[in-house]
Amino acid sequence: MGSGNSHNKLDYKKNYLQSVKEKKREYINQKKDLQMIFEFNNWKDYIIKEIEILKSKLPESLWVYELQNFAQSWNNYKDYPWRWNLIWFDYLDTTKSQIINIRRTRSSLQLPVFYEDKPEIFDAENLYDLLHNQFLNSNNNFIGGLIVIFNTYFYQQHFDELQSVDGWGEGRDVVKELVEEIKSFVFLSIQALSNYYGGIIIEKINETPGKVYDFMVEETFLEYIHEILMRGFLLANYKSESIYQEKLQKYQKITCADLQIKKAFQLDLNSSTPAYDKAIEKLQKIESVFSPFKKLNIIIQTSRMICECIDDYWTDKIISEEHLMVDADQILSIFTYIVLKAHINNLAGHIKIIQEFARFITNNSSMGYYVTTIEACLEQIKNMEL
Amino acid sequence: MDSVKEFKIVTLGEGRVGKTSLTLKFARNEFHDNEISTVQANFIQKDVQLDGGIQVRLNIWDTAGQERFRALAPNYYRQANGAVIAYDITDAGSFNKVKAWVKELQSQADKDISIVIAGNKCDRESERQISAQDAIDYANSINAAHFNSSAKSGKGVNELYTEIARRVYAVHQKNAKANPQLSNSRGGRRVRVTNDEPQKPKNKNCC
Repeated sequence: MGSGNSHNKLDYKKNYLQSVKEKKREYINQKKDLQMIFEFNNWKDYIIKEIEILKSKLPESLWVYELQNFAQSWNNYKDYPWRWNLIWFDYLDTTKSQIINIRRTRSSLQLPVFYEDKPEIFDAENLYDLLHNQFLNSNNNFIGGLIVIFNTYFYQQHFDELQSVDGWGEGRDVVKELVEEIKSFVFLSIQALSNYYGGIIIEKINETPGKVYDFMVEETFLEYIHEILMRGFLLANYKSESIYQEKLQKYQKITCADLQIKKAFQLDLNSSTPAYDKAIEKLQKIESVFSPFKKLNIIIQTSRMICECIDDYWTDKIISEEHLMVDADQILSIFTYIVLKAHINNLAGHIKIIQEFARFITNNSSMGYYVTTIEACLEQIKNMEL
Repeated sequence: MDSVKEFKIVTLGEGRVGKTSLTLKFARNEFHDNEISTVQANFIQKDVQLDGGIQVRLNIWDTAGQERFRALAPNYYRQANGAVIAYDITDAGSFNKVKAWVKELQSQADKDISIVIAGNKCDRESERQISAQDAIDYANSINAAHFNSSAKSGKGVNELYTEIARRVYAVHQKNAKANPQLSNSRGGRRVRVTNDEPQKPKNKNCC
């Protein structure tokens, strides 16, 4: 009997795996583009060609040569599980409405066998989430490896140069050059992504190219790049930064009334603690995140916190809605107060990172509005004489 | 999927001419009147329907009107597709400021920027200090449109924003024809990442 049961179990498992295999095959046949992935055995050659092109554009950049060495010595065998997981995930994602009543977590995505000693099984809510988790395994995922190599050698080359203007070389536009190098890498990584993963990613790029760009910028910005960029911005704007720092010191005890914030928004009127404390704390977090989009998110959240602080203050008090309308003059004054109290070093650098890497559509949306407002506050503070 | 093209519109004008009220009036049905809470009136997004079923999305940036913030305006009108410049018909000085804004935009903003001038507070016709004909003549002289508007009654508000939407869309179409996107010249293995991408139409009227 026992032996019969285990036979049944084995048969069941065999049938199940067979059915999964058939479903995958059926799915792949349906999506012609996905088949390309299996013709992509020579993906590495295409990526190496892309790096070659970059070498002629950025002959002085150490990281380009290191990327070439990295790509040339890469063992393709490692990559099959990553690419298969992407197809399997896409299959689950497109068929999830059919299994709506079955609570199935995405933990069913297993990491490749050579990761058994580190059995972190991750949940992925969407394709980008899945890719992000794959990139974290930079020793075994090619794209993850590219990102680490770029960060490492970009940092190594520029760290010493950015100690002083002399180190960088007088007359060179530090910000422009650094930004151009990073953008070049981001575009290279998108080409690499499409060659490496094939059909599914190419589909995504065609549908929402901007989202893929945003995603790769986000993935590229590790701590190393951030540090170099911030140093570069500081070097380019050290005079402006020292004026800003002086003003921060000078106006550290400023009140809402000093800044002509209207009475309804003078939340420090009857309190010894700074007004807008939640918004100030939120804005200070901009220093601890590295990517442009995380910084942008902090600014958006700060603008929401401003409303929350005002709403909290006026809870249970009588005031008409008309008086709670924050117009452009008021938001500028309130943000100026918050920036003065938040005391963030090199805030101009954080803003510059957002502006350089956010897309046109982001810069012109509500997100861009608040970034522009912070930028305007900085100018206002530097010229402030009360 | 129908796509909606987005445009950045900046509202300019001296303090107290009613810039913010104009924008709010335009977006009025977005607000929920049954609850008292803080209203951010500095950025408004609203879809506008043009002739031929074309839908465009306006991202309307309010700007500070107080003189002490005057120098910060270029930060806001950078990359703007259109500008609504408002003045108060009962205040001749505010119309002179319109002329200063136009000059500044012509020298510092995007060369293709579309301009609509709003003669606001037209519900106070008896106090008018600027002749409507003079204002229209001036607008014509700079290839702008002019509307009498009242944020209080709503008169002319939709019309002026529809006109700016029509103008920025026309410029966009003209530029698109003049500069068609280059096709991928380096084979199918190279993907092209564009600077922006079309958005889905919104069900709501604004942000």
